[in-house]
Amino acid sequence: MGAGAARLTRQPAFWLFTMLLAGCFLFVGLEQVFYLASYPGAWLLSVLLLAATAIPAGLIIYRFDQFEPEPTSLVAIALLWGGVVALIFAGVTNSWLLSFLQHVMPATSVDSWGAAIVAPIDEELYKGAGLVIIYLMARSEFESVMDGLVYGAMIGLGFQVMENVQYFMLAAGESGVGQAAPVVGMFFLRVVISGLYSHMMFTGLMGFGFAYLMTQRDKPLGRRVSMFAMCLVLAWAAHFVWNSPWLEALMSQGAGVFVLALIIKGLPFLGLLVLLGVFAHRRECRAFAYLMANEVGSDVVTPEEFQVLRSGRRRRKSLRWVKKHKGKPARLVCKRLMRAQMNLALFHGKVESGDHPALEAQRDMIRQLKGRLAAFG
Amino acid sequence: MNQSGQPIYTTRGAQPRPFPGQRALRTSWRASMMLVSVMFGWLIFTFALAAIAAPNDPNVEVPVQVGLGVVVTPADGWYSAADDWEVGPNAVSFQKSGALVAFAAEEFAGTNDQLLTAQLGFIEQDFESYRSLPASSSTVSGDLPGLTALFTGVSSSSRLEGELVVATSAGTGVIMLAIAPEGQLSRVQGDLGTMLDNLVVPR
Repeated sequence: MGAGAARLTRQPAFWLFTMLLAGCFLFVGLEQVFYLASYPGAWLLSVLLLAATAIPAGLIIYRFDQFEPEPTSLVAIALLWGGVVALIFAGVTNSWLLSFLQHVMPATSVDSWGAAIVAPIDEELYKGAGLVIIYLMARSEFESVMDGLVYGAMIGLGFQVMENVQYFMLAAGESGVGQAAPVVGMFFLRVVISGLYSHMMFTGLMGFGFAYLMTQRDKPLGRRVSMFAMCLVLAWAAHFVWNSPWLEALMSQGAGVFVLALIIKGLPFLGLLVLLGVFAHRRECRAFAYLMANEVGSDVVTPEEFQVLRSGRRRRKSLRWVKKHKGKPARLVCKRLMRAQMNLALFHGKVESGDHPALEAQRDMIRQLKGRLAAFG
Repeated sequence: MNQSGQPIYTTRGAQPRPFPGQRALRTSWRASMMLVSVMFGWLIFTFALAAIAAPNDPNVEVPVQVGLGVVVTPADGWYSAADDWEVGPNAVSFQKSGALVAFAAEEFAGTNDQLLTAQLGFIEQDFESYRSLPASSSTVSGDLPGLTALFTGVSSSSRLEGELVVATSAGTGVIMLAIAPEGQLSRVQGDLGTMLDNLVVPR
């Protein structure tokens, strides 16, 4: 067991997560076994299609935080929370809240607006609880707004994938024209056309606000709380608008208009999340430059290397150049060197003095890697 | 990689990193218990809301004239499906959560068996891959003998299941046809039973 994992097991929140996961996994597991037994072809196709899209989506989210990728153990916890714990709790409360609405609202209103009212309240609450539990497990990993955005989007991704399996199986069950066609049709609708506007976006927005509240301690409390509240409302509103029957009349007027209606409903919130993402990325860049200020110009990081490290595009370009001119092994060493140099900034953020033994050891490692890279000629 | 005394490294994947301070080492159970309280609290709250509101009913179930003296009272949560399912004269349709039901009345001098056979013949024409279970006896409007048949089939690329109930009384044939996506009919069968029980049929 690594030190990171050992540290996690010392956290009460980790054991709470484990207990909730074990309980909810029973339900999710039984549900999946039922799907597999009832619609084996559709289930396997669903898993393949969702894996083909969710894995790249997860990798893209994971790489948002290029200066400090989140620990894989916490990313896995975020995915499991969304796909198992939040899904089960939200599923149960959704049905009870809907039952309540059916007894206090006209039936026509519940049929039209029930999903828009119920789902954002329950689902955002339980997905948001995942952010809190990850924070309680590993406060030291919640250092910037980018961290919140990444964990939030990962929780949303887990939720979205498992919810999509349910929708695909429902489509397969309702169809009489074989198991593949309805699954592919639903995949096109829920993943290809509208995948970007779903739970990843909602919980990403909430994660940004939560991380702003918990990490930006130099800002006034009122501002942090306001930002958190705004992101919470935005996440809820995005979910509400998406589930609402607005533009339904437009949606029945052909495929092109249908897609247009989905874009109108989802794009403004996605645009906002992208803006927040850019804001978070710029903050990361500024923090990186600040933390590396004393290293740039030394034998550990030259000014030219620093310029390359600051940009993902320049790093990829450099790696391609190294591979082309010095070969694949040199590229691997160069990649390790870049990661070691970037970790130096991370270490600066965690120690108080510039001559901390961890920093010295990291500098030595960088020098060694530079020597190995130079040996390639 | 940890040295004796104050550790300087902890491993996270393949990357060594400085050991986090004491602040990050352990959080209390209190925060975790608060979180779990909120999660289960909301679960219990929604359950309580549903339970408290259950006797409440904002949808006033006004009896609806089907025709030929037959009157149906829609069950809780059912509302008119006239815009989605045109059922013609002497008939009304309702919907709830994707399920549809139509009640019809027609002049009919035959038996329940004859009425059921005729209706199943019409239904079969509208479905592909049509299959039905043998009819079973039931009651309508409290004590009026009727017949019930369950069926499945494909219509407009959707696999549906349905329930047909017929009864005859005083020269009037009463028909109830309910259709729902496969697997969904059982969710509304309680409502269908209530509506059939409360049906007013001329004797």
